[in-house]
Amino acid sequence: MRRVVVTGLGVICSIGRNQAEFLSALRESRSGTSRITSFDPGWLHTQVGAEVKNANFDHLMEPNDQRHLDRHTLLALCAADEAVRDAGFDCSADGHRVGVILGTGQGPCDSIEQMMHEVAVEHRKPRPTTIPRTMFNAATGHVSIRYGARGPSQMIVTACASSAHALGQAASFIRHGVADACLAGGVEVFPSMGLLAAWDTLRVMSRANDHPERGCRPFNRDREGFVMGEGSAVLVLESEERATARGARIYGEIAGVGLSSDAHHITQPHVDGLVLALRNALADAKIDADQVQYVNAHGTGTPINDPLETEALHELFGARAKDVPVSSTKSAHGHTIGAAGAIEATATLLGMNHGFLPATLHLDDPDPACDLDYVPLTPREARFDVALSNSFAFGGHNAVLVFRRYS
Amino acid sequence: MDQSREIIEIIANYKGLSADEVTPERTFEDLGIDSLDAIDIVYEVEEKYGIDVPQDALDLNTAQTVADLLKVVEKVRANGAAPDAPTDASAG
Repeated sequence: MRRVVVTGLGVICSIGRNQAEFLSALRESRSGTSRITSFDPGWLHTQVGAEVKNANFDHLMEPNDQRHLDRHTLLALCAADEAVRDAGFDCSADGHRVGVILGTGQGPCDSIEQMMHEVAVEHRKPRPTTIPRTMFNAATGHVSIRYGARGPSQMIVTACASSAHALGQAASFIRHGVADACLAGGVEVFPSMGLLAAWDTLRVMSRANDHPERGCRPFNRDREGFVMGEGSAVLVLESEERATARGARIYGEIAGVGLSSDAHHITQPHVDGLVLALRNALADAKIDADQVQYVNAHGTGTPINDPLETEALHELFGARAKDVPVSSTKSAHGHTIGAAGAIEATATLLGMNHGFLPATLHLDDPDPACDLDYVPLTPREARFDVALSNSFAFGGHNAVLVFRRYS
Repeated sequence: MDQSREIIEIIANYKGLSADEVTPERTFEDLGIDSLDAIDIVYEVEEKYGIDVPQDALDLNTAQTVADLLKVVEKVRANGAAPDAPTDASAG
């Protein structure tokens, strides 16, 4: 089976509109959560979000052409553009061997809600471009068209695990020779007002309206829920052969993918499903739990997730559990749902390459049920060679990725 | 403003061009208008005039020029074309 390496990283989210800004924010413990600005949230219980502020897509295409695309597609193109440039990636000679595998949870929801408004409120016909704008796979199609990637292309929809699944699927295609390289990751736009209102009634989001920058407090005793975010991250994955043949810089290797389903409840996670995904990941990477040096947690900051994930990590690591640093970067960039796995993979690889463990922000009063080393408040200088990145989704879909320093 | 000028402005605005660049003899291809753009432009024209351009009135795959589109809209407005309804109530 071929080895899969990461040669390019592109990211845009609330704490950074590119890799450099994202890295600085992680190192400086900056939070991207604030009062929602994309609509007036005054009527909702939750008025906190992690939006991408001052996004600019003019380097991608003329402003006039941007009108025809949902922000969902533009965010994905933005991350893909950075990843491709970062990798020095060109597939003009082997586009038929290059895939595009992205994940999303909620798709181009703004355009969908706009269509509903046109029809139900304004009693107008929807625009003919509504379908190509609103289809969940639009971003995948646009990325493959832009780069001439003619291998397999998919949009994977598994809620909060979507982009972890996308990275896993892309890695699997490369390992098994279906493709030699993939642009893989995920994208999520900040929900339209109706969609956010629906989340609001589900009572899973932070209502920290009077201190929005501290809205997401994973593992903290007074955590209130997650903070909805938006963004995209795209990684350039290549077979080891393709990357080394062209002398590419290698950020690390996707050494294993662990998948499982809770088969338990549509919104409640189950510890057995989490542990199964974690164990499957280690088995796939052919490593022992003792070799893991860092875990980028799912760490949503909801009352249910954090102690359950802690319990799963205790079960995985046994007596060593408290010695393994675990952190949730969602404390900074919010929960980007279908982009979360890819954004957190990017944070993990940047930490591995720059020698630091990203912090769990705002963790000043840990929940007694959350008793691991969560790298509280500030990042920690450390070298690590093997890391896990967890994604656990509504629907009971679990995905754990193993990243290893390439040697 | 006459109808031709109004439609030309719709096309120009859609493609981010100046109206002077969109002359009747120019081809869609030349203006960077693909078949999806053309359908979207027809929609804007329909909305502006409250008309419904029938499915078979304009073959967007063969319409070549701005003049082709202007002619069709002129004809549809002259006929006061009704909405594109099924001709056979039992169909579909």
